[in-house]
Formats: sequence, structure tokens, C-alpha cells
Amino acid sequence: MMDGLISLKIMKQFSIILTFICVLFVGEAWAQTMVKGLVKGNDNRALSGVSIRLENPKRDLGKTGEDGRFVISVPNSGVMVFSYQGYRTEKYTIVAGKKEYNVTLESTAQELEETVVVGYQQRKRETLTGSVVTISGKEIQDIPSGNFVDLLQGKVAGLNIQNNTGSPGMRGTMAVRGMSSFKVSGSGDNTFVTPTSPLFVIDGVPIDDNSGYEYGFETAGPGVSPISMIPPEDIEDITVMKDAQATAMYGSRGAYGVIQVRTKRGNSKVPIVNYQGQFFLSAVPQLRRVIGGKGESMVRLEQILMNDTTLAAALRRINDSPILADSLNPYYNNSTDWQSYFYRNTMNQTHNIGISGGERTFNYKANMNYYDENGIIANTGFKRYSMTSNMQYEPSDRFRMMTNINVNVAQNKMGSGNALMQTGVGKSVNTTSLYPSPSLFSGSMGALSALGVDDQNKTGNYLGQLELQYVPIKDVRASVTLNYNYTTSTKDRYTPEVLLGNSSEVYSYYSNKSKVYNRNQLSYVKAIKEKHLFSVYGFTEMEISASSEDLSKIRGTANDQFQTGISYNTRNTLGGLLNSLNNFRSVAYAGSFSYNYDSKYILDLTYRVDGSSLTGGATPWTKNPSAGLRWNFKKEKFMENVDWWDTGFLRGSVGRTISPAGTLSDIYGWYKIDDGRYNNRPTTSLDLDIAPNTGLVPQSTTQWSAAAELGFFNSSLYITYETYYKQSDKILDKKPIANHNAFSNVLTNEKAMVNKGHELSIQYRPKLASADWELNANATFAINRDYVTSLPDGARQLVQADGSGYDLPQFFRLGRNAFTFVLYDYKGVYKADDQVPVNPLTGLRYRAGGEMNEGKFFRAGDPIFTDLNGDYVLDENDLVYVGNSQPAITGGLYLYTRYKNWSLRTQLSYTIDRDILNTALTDRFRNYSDPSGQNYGSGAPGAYVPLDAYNVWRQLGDNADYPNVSDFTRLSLYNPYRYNSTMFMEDGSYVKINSVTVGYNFDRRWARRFGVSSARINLTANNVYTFSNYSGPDPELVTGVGRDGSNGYPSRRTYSLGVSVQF
Amino acid sequence: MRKKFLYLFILGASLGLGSCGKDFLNITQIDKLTGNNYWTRQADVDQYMGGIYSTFREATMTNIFFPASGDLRCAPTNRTSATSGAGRDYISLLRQNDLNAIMSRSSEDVSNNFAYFRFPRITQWNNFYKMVQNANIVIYQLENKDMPFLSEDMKKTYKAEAIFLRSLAYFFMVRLYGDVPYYTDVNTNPLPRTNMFTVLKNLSADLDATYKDLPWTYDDPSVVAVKAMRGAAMTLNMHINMWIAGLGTDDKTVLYQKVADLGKELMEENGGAYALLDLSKTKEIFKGRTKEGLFEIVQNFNYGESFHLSASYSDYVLHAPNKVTTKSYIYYDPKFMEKMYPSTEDDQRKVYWFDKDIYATNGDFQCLKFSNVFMEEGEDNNPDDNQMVFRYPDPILLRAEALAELGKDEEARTVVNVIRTRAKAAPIRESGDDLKDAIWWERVRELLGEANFFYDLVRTKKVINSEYTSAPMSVSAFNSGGWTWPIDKSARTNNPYMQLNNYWN
Repeated sequence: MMDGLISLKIMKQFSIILTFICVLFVGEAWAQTMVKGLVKGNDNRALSGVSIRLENPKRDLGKTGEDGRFVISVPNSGVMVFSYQGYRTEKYTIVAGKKEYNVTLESTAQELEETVVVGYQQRKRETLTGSVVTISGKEIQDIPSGNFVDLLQGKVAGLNIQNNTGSPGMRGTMAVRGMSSFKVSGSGDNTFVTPTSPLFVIDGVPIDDNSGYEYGFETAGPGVSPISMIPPEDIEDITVMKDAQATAMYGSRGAYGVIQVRTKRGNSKVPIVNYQGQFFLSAVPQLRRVIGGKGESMVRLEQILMNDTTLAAALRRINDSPILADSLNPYYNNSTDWQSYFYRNTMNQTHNIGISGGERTFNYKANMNYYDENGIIANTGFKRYSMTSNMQYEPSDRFRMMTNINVNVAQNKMGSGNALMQTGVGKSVNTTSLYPSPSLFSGSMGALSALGVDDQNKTGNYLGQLELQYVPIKDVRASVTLNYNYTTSTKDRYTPEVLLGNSSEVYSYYSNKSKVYNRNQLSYVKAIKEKHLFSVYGFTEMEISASSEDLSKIRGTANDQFQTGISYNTRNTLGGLLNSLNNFRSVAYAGSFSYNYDSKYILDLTYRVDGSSLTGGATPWTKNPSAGLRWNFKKEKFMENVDWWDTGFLRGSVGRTISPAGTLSDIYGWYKIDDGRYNNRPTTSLDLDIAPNTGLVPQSTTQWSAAAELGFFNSSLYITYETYYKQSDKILDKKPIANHNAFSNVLTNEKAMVNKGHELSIQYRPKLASADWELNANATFAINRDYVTSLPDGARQLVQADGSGYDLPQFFRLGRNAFTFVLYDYKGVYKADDQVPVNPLTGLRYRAGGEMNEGKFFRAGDPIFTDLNGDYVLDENDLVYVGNSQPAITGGLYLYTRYKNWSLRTQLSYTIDRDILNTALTDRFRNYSDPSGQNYGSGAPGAYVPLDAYNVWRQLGDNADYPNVSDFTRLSLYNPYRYNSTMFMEDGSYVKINSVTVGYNFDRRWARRFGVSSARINLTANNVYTFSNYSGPDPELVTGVGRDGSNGYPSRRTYSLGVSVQF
Repeated sequence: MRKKFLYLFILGASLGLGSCGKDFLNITQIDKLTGNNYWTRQADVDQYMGGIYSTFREATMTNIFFPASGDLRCAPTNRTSATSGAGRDYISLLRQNDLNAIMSRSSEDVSNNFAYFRFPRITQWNNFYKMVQNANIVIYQLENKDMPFLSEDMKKTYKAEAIFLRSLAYFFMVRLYGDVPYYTDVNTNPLPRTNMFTVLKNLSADLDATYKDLPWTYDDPSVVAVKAMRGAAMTLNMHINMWIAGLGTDDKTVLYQKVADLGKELMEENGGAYALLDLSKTKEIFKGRTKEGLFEIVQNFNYGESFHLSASYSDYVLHAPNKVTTKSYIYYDPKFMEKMYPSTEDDQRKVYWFDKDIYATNGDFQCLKFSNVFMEEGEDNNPDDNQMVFRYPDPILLRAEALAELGKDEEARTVVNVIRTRAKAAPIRESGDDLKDAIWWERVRELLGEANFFYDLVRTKKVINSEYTSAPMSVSAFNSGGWTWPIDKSARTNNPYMQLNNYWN
């Protein structure tokens, strides 16, 4: 019902805009002559989207189509101006009577003439001193995705994206130039690294994707981030800013890099209606292997018979266990493929209609998008309805107004899990195949609730934005941006009583967030004697945001028909406002000075001061300075005669960004009225958990970077090399303190780390002789290493214990990488008993730690764990510090080839040198500890991993990779399959074919017969194949700390058919 | 050109003024009272200060703190038929100063344990440091935060009050643990223990500088002797100096002179704020808030504020009809009682504070100092009396003691006889060492059950002398810190500089 209403609203809005547009066109006078022609580059390539303007009076005439052709109406005299990014602008005088114009544009050094918005200021790419990479929206639009960020994988050197959740609409983790923090929360399999995602700037308005949304993990709500609301089809381009100079003007939240998204704008006198539709099949990727049915039963029986203490004990154990003994009972004699109940292939679709048009004085765009994806896990999915529009009015050179109105609604279902983890499915899939398939009568409620819980989440995002620009006097431009953004999220989940211990549950959650954003900007540009160009600009920025969440949980409704607020079980019923009420304000002042000498030497200086309601006390303002230099050495005399070398730039920058962290109560303390009274008067005390620290300083990141940009052979080969040193200081963390301080903890800024790395991107775009062929390749390579450089109290190392049974603590040591595993060193399997070392002092064999027990002495088939301290006892003194869960090398390769109307687009990405703990495999091996299935407690006995795939020790003399898994009576004593051993640490390197797209452009003349100005179809496969030595299903599907847990959401493989039609 | 710059300037200024900075950034968090919105009115300061008093009560009145540390340790006490069970072994263990045995039996898991009495809390200094830290915070806020609602004088008074409370906490800790970590700013760093004499001298200096900012007394009768008064700060200062003089190596004359001077000022300049009441008003005196009280810890049934049952000395020395039990829990050695209250001498205290069974050894012994029993018959509750921390006779006797130590016997006799006169007892006529002895015994006599006994023994090193207690400490135990309490091991967590008390730990 809700959806209906919203789409109705969208329709209404749309029709209003349409009417508006029509009215405008009626008023327009039509020009006199129709002319046509073809625009090509000097490399003989047809150029689409070339803007054609009339010089005097200034107005837009139109744009070239996909094949470079144009048909426009022009006055009988005047000058046509053809301009296109990356090409020199050409002017053609209109000759009366001439109907056809063939235009050739000369390519300039590619990319350099383009303009790009950095720090809210448009700049020529040629003059940038910071590190900025732009990706055209076209490169990603053939692939259906709930979240465009996933599609950037491998495209930008130094932007490491790991698509570690396949949950529809959710995004993976991303980091620009390595991790900036090593704060870890949670324990066991739920250990998570504090996210340090870049700041998103959507059409000039910053949206912080780090805070508040948290991917819905452990938060109550739907967890759909505003980034998922942006339809990829509506993206004009995406700009990634990496170094301090580029991000400094974004202030504190730009500390982790900035990703700027521009949506499309209207730019054609003739209105363009564009339809893009994709039908795609989401296919289940490779899943985990298990044994089923009789196979499992036989393995269990054999395991007991071979390994139990005595034959009598074995028989008793088998006879006591109905799943093994009761061979006639249909309940225990199944071969249930649990994964098949949860994983499925789905058919999905997405449609996008864009309408745009107008010219310089007035243009508009309206885009409607519908995206519907059913997750490959049953009962999950993501739908998006979006309506975005913008409009620009520029009656003169001195005034400009732009408005954006966006309405987006997303709907997602998470089954019994949350956005990141599918714990219910993970647990159910790890169930013995002997149990019957999920049904009400078989009692597999975990599985049923994963399938049967009615979980509906809706997120609505409404945005209005206005930007005004005015030139009061020559060279001075003032602009004002105002933005209001409102997001509501609801979650409605109903769990029927049969799935929840005979007591149904209604869970409803509501949250709203609002944000007002304002930026006032003033810029001044002055050129002196043509060669000296000064540019100064400054702005103030203000943000007010607020959010609140409430939740109610009603337990025990009268029956399953009552799915609202009547309950008999008031004890477990609760509801109210959550204590996450948030109010936030910030103000910033920023200024930039830039000097450009003849495009040869460029100097940039920026300074930004940030104040927010979260900082205060002793340090209310944070200051972010930066400086950058660029030298165009190709313009120097000594390079004049080198023909094959067209461009050469050296640039370098240094800057500091500071991000305030902590909350008001961290800074000032939290005053609580005491429970009791003193002398019949109320008293107040400070909360003693965290000592207030008004001296809390913000985290700071200082980054030095240097780069070279070189273009060769008429710019067909363009190489960018960058190197950086990034120091993240004063990382905020909680430190427990001595009890004589009364407080238990204090937040301090004592941690620090360094990231160092190199980035290389090579672009190859040869100028081919034949216009039929086009080739374009782009390779990226990035290497990043991180080091811990400071720990609290000058400590040299620090172990953050893991409270869970996984026993996987976080270990930090100065000079080491931040994410190291603490593991027992596994060296293989004892082939025979006499291989086990014997302590010459006691005559006892090497044994597992803890109390002495005969079963703890190692024997043949047991794992060889290195006895580091040589005491012949395996205990925590034998742990080693190994591995790095963060990838060292990431990158990708993009290839585009076109022959006539056919095109092929492929994207590869790779991650090399990272270590993964395969805890999911450990879980499955550990299931062997209970062959009779009697000790599983609540739930069900676990699934068995097929041993033939692994070289497991079976008998004396075996040279095995994995220790004996069958000796179940002893397994708990010496724990060979412990989570914290290098046995399960694997190389997580992979090369992935992200996508392959084959496209075909229909012949324009042919298409026109159907009233279509251009048409295109494409076939795309996404997440095609991953090459890896990793033994688990997907080396990418690991958490931020490098664990492949059982509960992840696998990434789907999609095959899509896309149609794009332009009217 | 100039015009252009003018335009620019105007534009720039309008941008700058568009947002107004700090006030704009100060938001009120609705769900949590955070510090940026606290300290905005006088009641905030009062309420926070109230929290420190409350913490002091938490530190001392929720376990056996005062009886164990002040009254029963090394005292000539005996168990009666009401306390013959193994669960009351701690009475004997306290007498024998065997604290480790007490600690080992303080866990719930041990049979006949003393868990109810929460002895380990005495070894945990957390609450005292909470007082210290909170007082530091108040002082910090008074010094740094703009508080227009307070006059300079009021600020001084609040500061003096905070310093009194902080000094009180430190003084209590010094008497319990000896050396303690010492800090006077809002601290979060690990600290080693500071020599106790350094600590005490600092406390004394702090009090010297601020005690005059405190009023002698209050108009509001509900806070008399409950809120810090000048007399309390002075008494604390006298105690501190007596402690340094008794155990330290400094020039004792200076210290005793200081105590004598403070005592003189306290007695002669208080403007009628303090007085010794007639002993017939015993119940009023110990109920609290009288002119005789200098500093008390509040309890009140009517307010719903009561001490833990283990916290009161009166629990040990009352029986039916003042309590359910028919026998008291302890009685003192007859020799000790005879020494204190010779049967042949007149003393009103014998009349009002004891009954006919003053020398009884069968459990009929009672001390009726604290006997405001308001509970219904049959209920086992302790009297609703405030805990006396400092009572007016305390500084009077300290002054007498200091004067005697200075050799000013005549003056000392005059002062001590103020107490004697109130009790309608014969004046003290001794001189020299006998006078000192007489004054010491007068302290015991007057302050019995007010948690001074053990500290008076230690301070004067009389704890090693069987003249003064029939449960003396050995010299070697005393010298190696046997008079302290063990420090809970948690003090070492996150503090590499921490060393515990060697005698115990």
C-alpha cells in the first residue's frame, strides 16, 4: 500500500514536470534551417555528445548522437561552436544553403582539458595539484547493481573495494590508500573494524556514509545507506580524490578520501528520452561442500567404530544415537541439501527512464528508476524506486539557479539476519544432512524462520536542493547552496508463533534523520598579463542534523492473525525511543588560494577550519591546511623538441586533515542523578565509565604525496604514477586506567599508524587508422603497506583479548602491520608416534596445555604445532604473530574494444598478498567431534565436510595436510582444529573477472524507422569468475579482519540483458 | 578597484556572519546530561557536592568500615554467647590484627564466611578516590568555568568545601594504607604511591589556605554538622598534624604548636557555633546536627536513608530492648573498663552512656551512646543515629594532648577539664607523662565507639604497649606496616608503578 502511494506521488510529480516542460517548448521560437553532419575526432573516431552552440546570441543548438551525427536547426547566418571535453573547440560559420557539415575536432592532451570539481570549485584537470581520478558513468551502467560503489572495484588505483557482502543493496568495505584506523569492536566471528569509508559528495552536498548507517550491522534498522539510493544509470561521472590536497577542502570528514558523484543534466535542445532496461539472472555462486545422506551416515558410523575407546562403547554410542541407529525412522534418514533451501537463482529487473533537455538558459532532467533484485538467499531482496530531477536556469552570464528534487524509496528484506550477516542461514546450512528438510513438523525452526519471517524494511529519502550563483562584479562569483535531506526508515518484522517457541513477535522500528546543509561561496579570479592567473575562493559551510529512532517489540499476540499491538506477554514486550537520539551541528570556514603561471607552475594553498558540536572544550576548532605544487615540465625549453612525449607533469602535495571523534559525553562527561539521596537532597555524580577529557584532540592524518603524469605518442599512452606517505596520528581509543583514578577508562589519542604505498595507472588509447575500430585500456596497480607506529602509554605491543571461544585476539606491535593474526604455528601432521618430541627431563611426550591427561599427549595423526618456548607443553606461550588480513596489492584492468557497432567491455580486478582465516572450514571440521550427534546441545548436529577434498590423516604413515579428524574422543582434549592455528590461514589472493559486456549499437538510420534516435542492446555477465588458490568458496567474502565466517552473504553472479533506447 | 574590494569585503563579511560559531555549536543533548550543559546554576554545584558526601557514606557506611578499622581492631574486646559462632570469628581476628585471615574468609564460597560484612571493601580505595576525583572536578569547574550565578565568595566557599572533602578522603586513606597515590588535578595517569607525610603536609597546607572560607556553622539546621564547617576542617587539620607528629620525624614542637593554636581558635573564636551539651541530651547529641557535632554522616529512616547493618558500632554493644538479641555481641576486658571508668569515681558518662552492667562479662554489657531506636519491637535494626566523624570533644582533647606534649601542663589541664566538667567528673590534676596518659585515656573514655580507638593507639604508638590494649601489636609488625590494611590487588591493574603493602600482600 505504501509503495502504491509513493509511486503515485512520483507519477504526480513527474506529470507536473512534464507539463511544465511542454509549456516551455510552446513558447520557444523554432529556428530557420535544418542542417546535419558528422563530428569526428582527429583520430577518426565519431564523437557522441559534442555540444553545439550558437556563438551570438549565445544559445544551445544541440548535441551529437551516439554515432557522432547531428541534425539541428540553425539560423541562416552565425557561427556554430563545437565543443567537447578533451578536444579543442572548433568554430564553423554557417553558410546559407549548406546543409551538411563534417567537423573534425583536434584532440588535446587527453583528460587535461576536462574540468573537474575539487573542493566545490571547478578546475581544469590540467591545473590540479592533488590526486583526482574520474570515472565516467558509462563504464558502469551496463551492470545491474543495487549499489554503484561495488562497480568501482579495480578502477581506481589506491581505492581498495572488497565486495564482502552479497546482500542486495549493501556495499562492501572500501578504503582509500589503506586503513586509517585500527580500532576493532566486537569479538569472535563478529569482530569488525571501525569503518573508514570515504566521504561521498553527491551533486555538491556531502553525505557521510560512515556514521549512522553502519550497514545495518547490529543496528536495529534496515541499514540502507543513501548511497544505495542513487541509480547508477543517472550518474554522469564519479570522481575519486585521494590525497590531502584534493580532500582538504572537505574538512574533517574528507580524511578518508572523497568520492564525488555528479548526476546527469539536460543538455540538448531537443528533449531526449532515454530508456534503459535490464533483465538479469542472479545465480548462486559456488557454495560450501558437504556430504549428504548415506555418505554422511557411513562416515559417522565408521568414525565411531574406528575411534571409540572400545567396541562395546562404540556400539553403545551408535545405539544411543537415533540418527545413526534408527535406520527405519524417516526423520533421521534424509539427505537434505540445506543450502538448496536457502540459495536460489532469481530473475530480476531494473528500468530507468531519463528525460532531459534544454539549453544553457534553461535545462532540466528527470530520471525515474526502478530496481528489483531478489537475493540469492531466500527471503531477502532489495527494491528501489527513485525519482530524481534537476533543473537549471541561467538567463544571463551573471545569474544561475539550479534545483534538485529527489525522492527515493528503497525496500529491503533481510530474512532472519541483518544486512551483513545471515546468522540464521549460516547456522541452518551447517546442519547435518540426515535431518529432514525444513517444515513445521520437523522442528527445524531456525531454518524455517530464515525462510518464513516476514521482514519488511522501507527507507525513504527525500531531498531538495537549491543552488544560486551570481556574479555581482566581474571576476567575482558568489554562490549559495541549500540542501535539505530527510530519511525515514521503518522495519516491520513478524515472526509467527510456531517459529518462536509458541510466542509470536511483532517488531517494529522507525527512525528519521534530517539534515540541513548550507554553503556560501565566493570566488575571485584575476589574470594579469595573460600569464599570471590568481584565483581565490572561500566558503562557509553549515550543517544541522538530527536523528531519532524508536522501536517496539510486542511478544505474544493472540494469534497469527493479530500482527499488531495486542499482547498477553507484557513481560517480554517493550518499546520506546532508543538512546541513540542525535543532534549535530557543524560550521566550517574554508579558503583557497591558487596561483598559476602560464600553466607551467601551479601553486595551491588551502586552509579549512571546522567546528562541530562534538568538539569543544579545549579544542573547539580543527584546522586542515594543505599545499600542492604542479610543474608542467613539458613546457620547459629542454623538452621542446621531444615529439613523442606530449605531456609531462610532476606534482606533489602535503596536507593535514583532522577528524574529530568522540561524543559530547566523552568530552564533558555524563552527569547522572544518583539513585539515592543524601540528607534528603538529590545528588549528582559523573558516570565513571569514561573520564571526561576536554583535552580530547581530533584524529589527524598527514599525507605527503608525489606524482608524475606522463603522456606519450599523441597521448595514446598516459601513465600516472603516485606515491604517498600517510600518517594517521592521534587515533582515538578507549584506554582502561588505574583504579585510583576513580574512572575506569579514558579516551586517549595515543595510537598512530602509517600507510605507505605506490600507485600506477596506465591508460592506453591508440589512435587507430580505421574508424571501425576503437580500443581503450586502463590498468591500475596499487601497493599499500600499513604499520603501527604508536600505542598507548608508549607500549611496544598490545594484545586486545577476544572474549569469545574463537580465541582470536587483536595484536598490535610497533612496526608491524595493524591486522596480524595470533595463531599456533602449524607444521603438518605426526606420521607416527615416535615423531612426537619427548622432554628429556621428564621423559614425557609433547602435549597440549592445561591439566595433565593421557589424551593430551600428541600421537600419530595429531597436528605438529611448534613448541616455541621448548617446554614440551602447547600453551599460549607458543602463539606466533603472523599474516596480514589487509591486502597489499590491489588493482584492475579495464578493456574496451569496439568494432563497428559491436563493443566489448571487460573489467578485471585483483587483490594480492592477503591472508584469510578460513573459519567456516574450521567450523565444519570441528563438527567431526560429535559423530553420534548427541552433544550438540540445542539446535542440530553439524554438517560434515567431505574429507576426500582434503588431504586428511587417516592411518599410520600418512603424509597428510590436515590432522586426524576422526579421533573424536580426544578431539576436545588437544583441540587439533583450533580456530587460532595457521592450518586455516590461507592466501587470499585472487584475480576476478568482474564483468564482461557485449554491446551492439543499432544502425541509426535503421532505428529511425521506428522513431528511435538510437538503440543499443548489451549482454553482461557480472562477477564472472574468481581465480584463486583459496580453498573456500570466495576469497573476497571475508570480514574486515580477514575471517571467512560461516554467516556471510555470498556474492551473486549475474547475467543480464540490457536494452537502451533513446527517443 | 577600491570599490571592488569594498564589495568583496562586504560579501566576505556577510558570509562570515551568516553563521555564528560557538553558541551555534553548543547543543543540548536530550537523552544525556552532558558536562557542557551542567554547571549552569548553583543547584548543579550543590548537587554535585552532595554526590561527594554521598560517596563518603558509600565508602564507609555500606560495610563494617568504622567498627573494623576504628573500634574493634587491636581492641580489648571479647565475644559473647551471641557471637560465639564461627561466622563471628572476625571479632577475634580483628583483635589479633589477623587481617589476611579475615580476607581469606570474606568470599561467599568459604564456609562460615564474613561476606556480609564486606571487609574487602576496606582494602579497595575506589570510593575514596571517587571523592578525590569528584572534588578535583568541582575545583576545576569552579576555576575554569564561567559561573556568573556564583559570587567570588561563594566560589571560595565551595572550593574550600571541596578541598575539605578531598583532604578527608586522603586522610582516611593515609590512615588505612599509609602511602597513597596523590593528585589534586583531574588525573587519568597511573601514579606511584606518595609518601604519606608528604601527602599529609600537602593536605594541611591546603586546609590552612582555605578553612577560613568555610562558615563556622549554618542557619539551616538540617545541614549543621552535615555539610563542611570551619570546625570540621580545623579538626581534620589537627588530626593530620597529630598524625605527622606521632609517626613522623619532623620537628614535633611546630606541629603540636599548630594543633594547639588551631584548637584554641576553634574553641575561642567559634562565636557560639559549637558547644558541649549536657549529657542528659545524649540522644540528641548522637542523633546529630547539634552544636556538639562537627562532621557527621547522615542517616535517617524518614528519608529512607539507612546505613548497612554491618556499618554501625552500636550493633555490637546493644541488646534487648534496644535490639532483638538478648545479649550484646561484645564486651570489653574488665581491666580495660575499670581503667576507663573506675567504679569508684563519679562520671555522668557512666550514667548516660552505660547501664548497671558496665563491667559485665556475660553479654549484658551495653553502650548506650547510640540508642535512638525508632524501629518497631522485634525488628533487628540499628539506631538511627548519624555516624560521628568529628565531634567537638575530639579537637578539645587533641588540643589538650598537643599542649601536654609541648609541656604546657597547666593549659592542657584546663582544656581537658572542659570535658571532665561537662561529665561532672573530678578534674585531672596530673602533670608530665601522667597528664599525657590521662588525656589519652580521656579520649578513649569520651570517644569510645566513634572509630578513634585504633587510630589513637597507632598515632601515639601505644598499640605496641599492653598498658593501653590487651591486644597489642608486636613491634616488628608495627614497624613493617602492620597497622595498615592490605591494598586490593586491583590497584595494580593498569598501573605499573603500584606497589602494595608488603606486610600484608
